Amino acid sequence: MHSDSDAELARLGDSALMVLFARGDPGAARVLTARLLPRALRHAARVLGDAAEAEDVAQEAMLRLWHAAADWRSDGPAQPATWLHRVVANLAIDRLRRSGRATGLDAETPDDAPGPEARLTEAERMAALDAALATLPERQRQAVVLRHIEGMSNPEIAEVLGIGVEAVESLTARGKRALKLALDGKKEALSHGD
Amino acid sequence: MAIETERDRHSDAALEALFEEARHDGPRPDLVARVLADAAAVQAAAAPAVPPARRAGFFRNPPGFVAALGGWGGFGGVTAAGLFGLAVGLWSPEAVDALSGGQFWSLSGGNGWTPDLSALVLEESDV
Repeated sequence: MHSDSDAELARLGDSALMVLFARGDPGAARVLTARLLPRALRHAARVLGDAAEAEDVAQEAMLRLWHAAADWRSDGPAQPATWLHRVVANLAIDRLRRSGRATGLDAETPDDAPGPEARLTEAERMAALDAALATLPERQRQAVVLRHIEGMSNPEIAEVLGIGVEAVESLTARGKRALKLALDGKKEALSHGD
Repeated sequence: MAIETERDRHSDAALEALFEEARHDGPRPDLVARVLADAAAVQAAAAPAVPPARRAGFFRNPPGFVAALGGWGGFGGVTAAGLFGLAVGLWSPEAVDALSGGQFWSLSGGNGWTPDLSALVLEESDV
């Protein structure tokens, strides 16, 4: 029963699903969750570098999305995904600032990870990526995650972060260079080796 | 310079492999369940009060013959009266006979149960 109606709903855009959600359609909630929760979680996980905190942020962001549905206009300019990423970005920054991790200066470095001779597990590789991301300033980190992991366009990222497109280009370029530098020397261990 | 370029390419590939891996991170089922529970709670809180007629089932929306008797209350009254009459007739047929002026007894041929239709036939032929 669910799969039939969900398959029909899956053909709709996020904004239309928001309107259906506001009308009480539980299928709209399922489809929106399937589409948007993974994005919110990945964004939060890579910026925060902590799985439990990332889950809290993703759940809170989704809850705000559900509350926002009542006033959502299907023909409005806002896209639910962009809106959600903005909420995640703000919630994550709040948490980083509260915990004193905002600049990433005290972040754990990948030095604790095994040397190049050892192949890292997937979890260890993600931990190394998170640690490298944590060395970047907040906005660079957000821009890199949204561009290279979520695959968002520069104008979309500009909307999420509330900055200009040129600033996004600069942030992602500098962020990627800094990441490569942070991971330099670990690439043998970080590669799958298969 | 060529060595630098090769190193860059290697770094780019290693970083891209990490990004690719990160793209496949998904939520655990219990997080999905929590998010869907939040969604259901928000929808339930926002749902307008449904008028009773829309929620009505068999008992809230009785069939026509029950409605003609004044709804389930009237239908219950008529049913109770019928059952009471049946009980009186079964347990105390003399009382019913007395109330009918003895017709019940004579029509039943004296056995007190089934009316004897032959009496009616005779009555008709007499006329």
